[in-house]
Amino acid sequence: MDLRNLKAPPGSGSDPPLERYDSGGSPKLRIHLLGTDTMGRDLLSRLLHGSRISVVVGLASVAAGATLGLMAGLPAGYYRGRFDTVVVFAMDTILAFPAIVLLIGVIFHLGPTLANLIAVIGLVTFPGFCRTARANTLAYARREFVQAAKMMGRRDAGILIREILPNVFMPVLVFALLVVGRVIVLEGAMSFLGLSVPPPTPSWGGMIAEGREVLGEAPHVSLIPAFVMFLTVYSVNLLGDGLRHRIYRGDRQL
Amino acid sequence: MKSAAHPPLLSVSRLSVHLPTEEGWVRTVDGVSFTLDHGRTLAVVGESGCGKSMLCRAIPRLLPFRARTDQESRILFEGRELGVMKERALNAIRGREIGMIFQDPMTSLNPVLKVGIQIGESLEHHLNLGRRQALARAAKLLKETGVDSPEQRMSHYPHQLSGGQRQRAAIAMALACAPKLLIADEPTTALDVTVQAEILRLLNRRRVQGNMAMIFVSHDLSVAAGLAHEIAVMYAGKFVEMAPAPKFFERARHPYARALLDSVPRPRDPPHTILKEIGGQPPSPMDSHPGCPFAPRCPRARSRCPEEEPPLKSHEEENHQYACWNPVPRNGRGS
Amino acid sequence: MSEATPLLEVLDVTVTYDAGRGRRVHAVSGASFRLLPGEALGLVGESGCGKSSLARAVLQLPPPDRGKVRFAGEDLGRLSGELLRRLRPRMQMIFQDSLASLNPRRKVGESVCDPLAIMGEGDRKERRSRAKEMLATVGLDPEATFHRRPHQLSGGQCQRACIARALISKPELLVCDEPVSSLDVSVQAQILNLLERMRALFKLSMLFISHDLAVVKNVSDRIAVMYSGKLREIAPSSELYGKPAHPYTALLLSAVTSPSLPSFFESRDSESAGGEPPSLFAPPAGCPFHSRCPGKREICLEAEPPMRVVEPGREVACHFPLHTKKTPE
Repeated sequence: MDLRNLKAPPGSGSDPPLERYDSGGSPKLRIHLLGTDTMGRDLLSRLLHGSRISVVVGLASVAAGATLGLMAGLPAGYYRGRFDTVVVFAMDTILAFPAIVLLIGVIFHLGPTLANLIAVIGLVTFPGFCRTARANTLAYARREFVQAAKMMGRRDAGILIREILPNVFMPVLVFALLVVGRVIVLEGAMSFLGLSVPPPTPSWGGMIAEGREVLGEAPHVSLIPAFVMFLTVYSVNLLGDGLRHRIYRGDRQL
Repeated sequence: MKSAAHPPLLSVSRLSVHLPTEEGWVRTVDGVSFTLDHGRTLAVVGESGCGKSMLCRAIPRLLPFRARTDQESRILFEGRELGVMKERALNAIRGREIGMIFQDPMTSLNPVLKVGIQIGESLEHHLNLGRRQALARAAKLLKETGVDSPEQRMSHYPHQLSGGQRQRAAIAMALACAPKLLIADEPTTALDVTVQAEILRLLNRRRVQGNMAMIFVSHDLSVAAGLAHEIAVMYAGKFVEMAPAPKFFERARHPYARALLDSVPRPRDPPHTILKEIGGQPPSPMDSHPGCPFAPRCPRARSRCPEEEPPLKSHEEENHQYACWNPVPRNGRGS
Repeated sequence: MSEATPLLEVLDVTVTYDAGRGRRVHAVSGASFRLLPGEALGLVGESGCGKSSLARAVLQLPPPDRGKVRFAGEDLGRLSGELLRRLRPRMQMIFQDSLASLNPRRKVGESVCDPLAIMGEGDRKERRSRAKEMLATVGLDPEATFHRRPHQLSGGQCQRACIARALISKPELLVCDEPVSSLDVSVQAQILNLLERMRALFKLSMLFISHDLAVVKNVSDRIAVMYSGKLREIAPSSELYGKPAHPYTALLLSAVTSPSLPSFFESRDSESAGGEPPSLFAPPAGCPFHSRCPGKREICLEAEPPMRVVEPGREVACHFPLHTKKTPE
């Protein structure tokens, strides 16, 4: 499922929203494998293109959140002291806001663009990553191999990057995959509310919203995008689980 | 060893314990047999992976959920076969007649219950004492183990005590109902030397007072020396030598036992003495091959050794058993 | 005292930790000793006595609160960060938990290369070949071990790899913090023998920390005994064993049995010196051992005995040391 989604952007031809209207178009367009939506647009192509949004937002915001989380969490867990206090305070503050409320507030204010969306969702995921990075750093920084590194003359920066980061990276990666799933749903909610990238760009949440009115007669318009979202999140979660299983088998002694 | 007059307190025969692992079933204890009389101490000595902890847990039948024992394994406690007893009957025995101490007191004590309550628990359960009586008796027990200010310690949680005090509390718990058999799995390994000495003295005192038998597991031969009537050396799940303590230290016949004795640094040797090494490392329970398990590392191995496993039996002397085709000579030393 | 310049001079070192709520733990108080080139000094004591803290303070990780540490003539506390870093290859350490001493995400061989890589010695190929050489020297199969991860090695193999890593930069001082305590007896002998061979091969000075007196005696020329954060006795190994001067040393020795000695239950009913060391938060006045000492007198409660030379080569901190000709004051 996810591979198909990723292939969509280069795969399914040019901008679908405009093409769908001319019924006198090429035979390809007359075959609607999954049906059409309320405006006659081919669901399958819209799904594939909408996946672009979900994937881009999912990966980009998670990458942003993870990077920020590592940049803050690693030094916080290693040095402790005042920097740590500030970081923990920032984490707690952001966590105090329910994600949706924060998103709605900021996007409403700043405008629904892809960049804004990625930025705010990244911010929302930051506390989780920071916590994971910090907790793992705390655990590893105390281990003897870090002391051994100091004894060999490694500088602090070297220790953070070459000793601690490789160990913290894996748990953060596993966490990231789970977060991707959640972010896809979050983006879906935002586009459902009309606060994601504006139409006519297709997005899954937007497609679900559009199908709301015809839920009784043509439920497939909403349900198919919802099902696709479910499958995507599920497979990402499975990926995360599998990865976790693999790395903890290797580190079993620890 | 068997005495003609009484039957032994504990009689273990062909005990084997199998554990399922990812690589298949593994035999951690392999056909162990021994008897123990009232008031006697057997020290089981071995290194990691030899199966001594599983042996301890097998006797009161506290094995992990998926462990299995053989059909022929028999554990007779006071003539009763523990292998076929129902859980309820076993529970009446555990704590009351068989006490157990584990290596790490931090995990054998419940971190969220006060120490006094934990000690009193078995008194309440087994001897039907009321709460107040049980606590009073628990305080007395704690005092006997040498904990300072026992009344105060009773209302402490385990993390508030030092390692030595925790282990003493665990001992008080195990001895609360004056069991006939105490199984101690490396009870002093995590403790300081001076604390260890006191705890060993305590155990010995209680043994004498209560005619209590003891199975004492350790990797430390010198600890066993101070405490045991009989020593059994365990390797790869089997007993490879069993003898009364003085005889063991004087003339251990099994090459592994001898090597263990020789590889410990001796205080009277000068500094920088090179110790007698045993090559290789202790076998993991996964490797099993025919023949003697020690053959790959044995300096005295002959061609027969990797092919045929030597049985554990007495040779020249009735109560000195060993399992070896080419044992260390009686008068010699090492290889 | 010999004329040779000591490799290591530790002068009146004190280490404290913040234990929250304004309290400080006095892990080490006023410790002083010397280590000559090629000498092995054992540091013995029970848990919490401060031996590990002292070792780390010597290596400036972190530097002690008070006191001086001189290595090869240089006052380590006075050196700038960079100069101290440059000195590090000359003093290395191995730890009790050898598995945790290796980065789980890196190949063992690469960890052994690290000391060279950090100091920028040689190129990758040279470093690798030196690492493999070192692995062979410590008794490991270089080709097989280089590419393994730490969790794939046994305890003994891990410790050998750590020794290889510590020695690859050819240090002058090797600090060993309980290197064999978590190893099986048979493996322990292997590692102790290995350390002995390495000591001779690399002409190392060693600071060997352990709670096991027999092990320490096997390794060390002289032994220092520590109690409650303070050094109590320093003496040549054989003399310490045969004629301990400090009552605590005597207590330690009485608690250690050897398979060749008869059971100590029958032979002696020792002064029940039961009890625990005093709190390290607020060290009491007088001698820290007085509460457990059978030979204590009034002065012991009031005045802390300083370390004094009682015979050539022997120092004790006791008002009434045993086995010596000193008359009680």
